[in-house]
Amino acid sequence: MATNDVLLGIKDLTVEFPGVKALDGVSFDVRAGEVHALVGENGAGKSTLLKVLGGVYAPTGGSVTLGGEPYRPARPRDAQDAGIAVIYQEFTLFRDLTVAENVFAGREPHSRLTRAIDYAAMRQECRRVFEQLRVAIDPDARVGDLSISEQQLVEIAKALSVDGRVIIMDEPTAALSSSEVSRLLDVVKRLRDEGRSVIYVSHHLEEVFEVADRATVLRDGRFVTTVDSADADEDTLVRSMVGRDVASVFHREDATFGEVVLRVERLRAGRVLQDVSLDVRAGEVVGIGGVAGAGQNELTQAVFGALPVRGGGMLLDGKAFAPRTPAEAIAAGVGFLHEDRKSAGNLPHLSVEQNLTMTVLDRVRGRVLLSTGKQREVWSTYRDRLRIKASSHHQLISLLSGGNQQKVLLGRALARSGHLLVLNEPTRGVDIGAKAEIHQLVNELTAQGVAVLMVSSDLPELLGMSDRIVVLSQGRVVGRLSGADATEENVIACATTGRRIGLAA
Amino acid sequence: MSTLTDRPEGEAPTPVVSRASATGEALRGTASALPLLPPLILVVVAFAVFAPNFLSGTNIENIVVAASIIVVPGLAMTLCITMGEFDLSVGATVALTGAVTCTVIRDGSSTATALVAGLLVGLAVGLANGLVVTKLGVTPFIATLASMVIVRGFARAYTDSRDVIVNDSTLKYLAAGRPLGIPFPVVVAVIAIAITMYVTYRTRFGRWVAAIGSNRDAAALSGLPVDRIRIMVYVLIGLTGAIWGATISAQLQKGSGNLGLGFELDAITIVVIGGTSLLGGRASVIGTVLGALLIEVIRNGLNLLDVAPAWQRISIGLLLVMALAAQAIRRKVPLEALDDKH
Repeated sequence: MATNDVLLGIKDLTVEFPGVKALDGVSFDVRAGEVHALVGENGAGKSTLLKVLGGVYAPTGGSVTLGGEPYRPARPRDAQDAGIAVIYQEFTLFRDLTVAENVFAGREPHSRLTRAIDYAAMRQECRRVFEQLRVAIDPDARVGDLSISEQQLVEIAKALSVDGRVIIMDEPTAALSSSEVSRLLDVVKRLRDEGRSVIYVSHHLEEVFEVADRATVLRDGRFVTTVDSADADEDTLVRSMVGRDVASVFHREDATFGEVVLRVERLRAGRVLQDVSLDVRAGEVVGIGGVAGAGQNELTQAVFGALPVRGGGMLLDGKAFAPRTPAEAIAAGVGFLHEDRKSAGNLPHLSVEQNLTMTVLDRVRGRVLLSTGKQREVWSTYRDRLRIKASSHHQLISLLSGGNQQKVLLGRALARSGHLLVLNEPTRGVDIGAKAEIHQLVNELTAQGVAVLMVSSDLPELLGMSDRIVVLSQGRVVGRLSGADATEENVIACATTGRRIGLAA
Repeated sequence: MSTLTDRPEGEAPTPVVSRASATGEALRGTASALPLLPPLILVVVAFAVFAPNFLSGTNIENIVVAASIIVVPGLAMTLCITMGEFDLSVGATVALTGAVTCTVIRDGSSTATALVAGLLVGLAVGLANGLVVTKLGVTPFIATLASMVIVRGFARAYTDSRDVIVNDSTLKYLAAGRPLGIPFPVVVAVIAIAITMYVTYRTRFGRWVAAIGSNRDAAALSGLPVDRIRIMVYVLIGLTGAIWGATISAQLQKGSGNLGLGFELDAITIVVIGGTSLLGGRASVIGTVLGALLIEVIRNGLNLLDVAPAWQRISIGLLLVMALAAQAIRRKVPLEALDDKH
């Protein structure tokens, strides 16, 4: 357990960028052998703080001490050498290199004489780290061929192999399924028991309460409070993060449903999806649950025409629906919010308006050129409807917060279709305030008759937002939960134990 | 065209077997050069049938020597392209370093002094390129386009736009010498290929070059000396450009501000048709060697067939387009694979 020795002391830390104070006089300390959670909304300054500790940014004011000595890393290498390992939220992996090469990047064991890398030693050490993590990843696999969650584990292995005194994890569970999360949390606890300090940044407060000894809250670049997690509860933490009361999980109101909008019948697609049938009615949210890789992505991609269907079929508004390309799906009226905002969603160099009108350019055309007025009209409609916070229509989308980016993309999906939305991890990586707002929006949209098919690995979200939950396992439906059946235990039981609930005989 | 999507039902996805061993990595690099073998064999057979004397010993030696001369800067360019960048200034470096070497000889200094002078100039050009792209943050395309023009300008100013004629038997050895009966350029090329293979697949430097090409931000966050590595690669191109310049000047026994026009594109072409991805991250050293052979076989054969140089250029340009198209097709991953590959 934590001792009271201060390992990392942060005093009056200030980081100023031109026009922005990203950190403003933050002070707190991290003890040796504790898990210290760092929480706050996006933009609270967590990432900036981590980058200072990691030697990426130089502070403009204040100081940091490590074990009583001044700690001023000038570059990432200095941080590693001081025993501070940072796992950034944006993966810092090399897709073209192997797992072992990634884990040891910059620190490859090598011969002084021949300069040759000692691949055998590297591979062996890599295996040792993965054993410590209790995961089976081939050190020789190319990282680009791994799944996101495996890549996350490679990042963690990288930090462990540095043998850091302080291990900093920025949203380490963002891409993990619930079983992988609990495995990770075990690893975090074990690291603490070995006497290391872990700074754990997360939006998931239940994780914070599970692993953290103490939690520090930042808001708008300022220190708010440090609490012992034993003495705090979720509500107080949320309140200090947001500065106001917010429901941490939105609960859907009872809704009335209309006609079936999407019917999926015995669908087989891709490598994973074997046999899935479900209906989504107007005004309804059907949630798809299951462990990562159970077929959720394949299902949404098949609906979106991005994955060839191998068997079964779909009906949209009662008519046969077999999109061969995303363009056909969009034309048929399906709006899609992709799982990975950064790589498959937004166009970072374009404005919010250009991003939003991307799928409806044919409707904002003048006689020859695109009509500025019509584009502005579409933008302002969705800005108001979705309460998008942007300084103007020509602000770059990449400058918005994650939640607002997600709203722009939601607007893009809606602008085209209007009546069937496919949401894949709609609130991944957005902060609690924006999450509640997106949930509220989904609720408003369904009240207007929009049908929603939602994939979410966030269980409270899945349970809170779905009218019905369809649980997948290995590409098949293993549970249909609604009402009193829709509990966390049932979802997990169906997803992981092969128990079947709610299936017609 | 067979893609992942037509995989028969029920068949498990092909496991990706990749070995981190240096040999494995080299094999992987070699594998990406394999598509080059059929066209190479095809053109060799075609020229053997249609071009008189194509298979004569002298002619084969001519081809191998020409490929050896071009492959040395091509190897440095392979590292550069693996890093996700390229250097357009190497042709101008050939002119400037050749001119310097010949002028120093003409003015009475020893050949060794002249060669060292040429190498130093090449080093300086490479260092300048490296500093401009790293410290000033200019994109390599623009930075080396500018230095291509500047260095070419220097070469012409330095020679007063006149040929610098020399008659130096030591210099001639670089092009025509035969230690142990092997043409000197071939000896140089073999040594350079061996060193590059070792460096690329065995050493940290080689891994770091690939790492930078794979994800430069991550390389910086991992604590790799990114700027230093990038500068070193540009310096290597400058140095191999100087070797190229010395060899060409040795062949012609002259230096000139007009030597090496378009050579930068040749160097880039052999790398790209060799299968090194222009996106960075993946090197194919053997591919560059095969690329050099392919280009020189085509040039030689077309020469024997009396095809005008203009048409030779057109055919090599077409070859480049085909090579890039082949890379693009290989890269085209069906959307199915996207969900677990980000």
